[in-house]
Amino acid sequence: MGTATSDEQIVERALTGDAEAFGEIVQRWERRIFVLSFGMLGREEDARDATQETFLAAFRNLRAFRGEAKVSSWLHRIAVNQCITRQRRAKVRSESALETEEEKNASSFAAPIRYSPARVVEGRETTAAVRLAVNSLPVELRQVVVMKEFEELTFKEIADALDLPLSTVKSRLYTALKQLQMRLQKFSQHSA
Amino acid sequence: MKEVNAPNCGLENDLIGFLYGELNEIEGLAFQRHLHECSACSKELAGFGDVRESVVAWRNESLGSIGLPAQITASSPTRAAQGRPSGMAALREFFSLSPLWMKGAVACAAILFFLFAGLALARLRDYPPAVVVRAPVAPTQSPQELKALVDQRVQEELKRIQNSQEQPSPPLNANNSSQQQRVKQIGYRSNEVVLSASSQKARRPLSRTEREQLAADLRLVAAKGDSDLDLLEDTINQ
Repeated sequence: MGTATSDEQIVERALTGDAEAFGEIVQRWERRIFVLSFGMLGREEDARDATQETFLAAFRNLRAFRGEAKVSSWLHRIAVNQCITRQRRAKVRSESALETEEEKNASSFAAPIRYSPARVVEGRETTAAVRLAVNSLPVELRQVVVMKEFEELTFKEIADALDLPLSTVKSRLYTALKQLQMRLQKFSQHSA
Repeated sequence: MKEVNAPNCGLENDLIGFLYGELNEIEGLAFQRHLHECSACSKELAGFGDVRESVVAWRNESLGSIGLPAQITASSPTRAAQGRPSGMAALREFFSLSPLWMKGAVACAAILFFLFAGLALARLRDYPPAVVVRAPVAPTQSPQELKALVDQRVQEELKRIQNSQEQPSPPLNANNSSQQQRVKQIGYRSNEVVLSASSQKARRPLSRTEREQLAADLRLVAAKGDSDLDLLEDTINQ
């Protein structure tokens, strides 16, 4: 029966020149980072690219990893930064997911969404609204929501990953849920 | 129920902790009591529950429809790192995925198993150490073979005794050979006694009294009751 090696041990192996060690880290965390990126960016292609960039950045900065934080927290921070950078770039190039025609309409919940009830199931419409509502949250609120709801991390894990006090994580989540609630209420009022 | 606006409660963090089930038992009970008193918090909790449901539905729909990267196949990072899951890991995953009733049933079964195992061990300790009793070995020879073997041994023993007797003992009388013949016809035990006695006596010459006694023992000298038989024999011979 094999014992699980810790992430920190694998990183040590990678630092000593083990070519396959970093591959193990990628295997372990790829899915989680992808889910986080998807929650942050809302588009599959963007999430894939952000995941790839996250691991590239981690590999380049492997020597900078001093083991003060957990590898998971370190990767999460890199991923969140990658997503933020990517969104900024996308805004500049007007390629953000919110820039698509549908999302332009949906981004303002005051404006009616172009989903026709005849064409689209109501449930799908709602999930689209949720996606847009989450995407429209400020980054610091969005990342907490995504880490909680997509990655199902505990408050402590989120606090460790983002290097924030536990109370800040809770208050950010509270604010995020409050904003989402308001936006979704608006959406339901308009769609009714 | 008094109307309290949630933000004024100062329990936002507790509300969030309660929503995600991350309060400890005491905090949870305290917040539950607060919920009975504060309708605003109750309402907010219900509203956040709905938001969570919507977000989870979006997550499930999105991630369910997305083909995760081809290389992302493992369900958990640890499992991916281990390659093939170990037996214990598989067992752990099985238990983590199994419903509560199954966990309970397994726990009960494990408790019963250990209980019975303990009782069995205690019983074993109470008993004296087992004595190994070897089963009697079945005879490899049949009764006939055994009898033949005994007879052979008897014959050999008789020959040996006779040989040792023949050399030192002086001839008793002319009927010595017939006497020996008779001795052979007597059973093994009596033979042994007589011959062992005679062999002992053969070491020294017998006195007259002894010889007579021996002859009488061997019925070489006619006893009182034998006289009639002698007469009869004589008559027949005549």
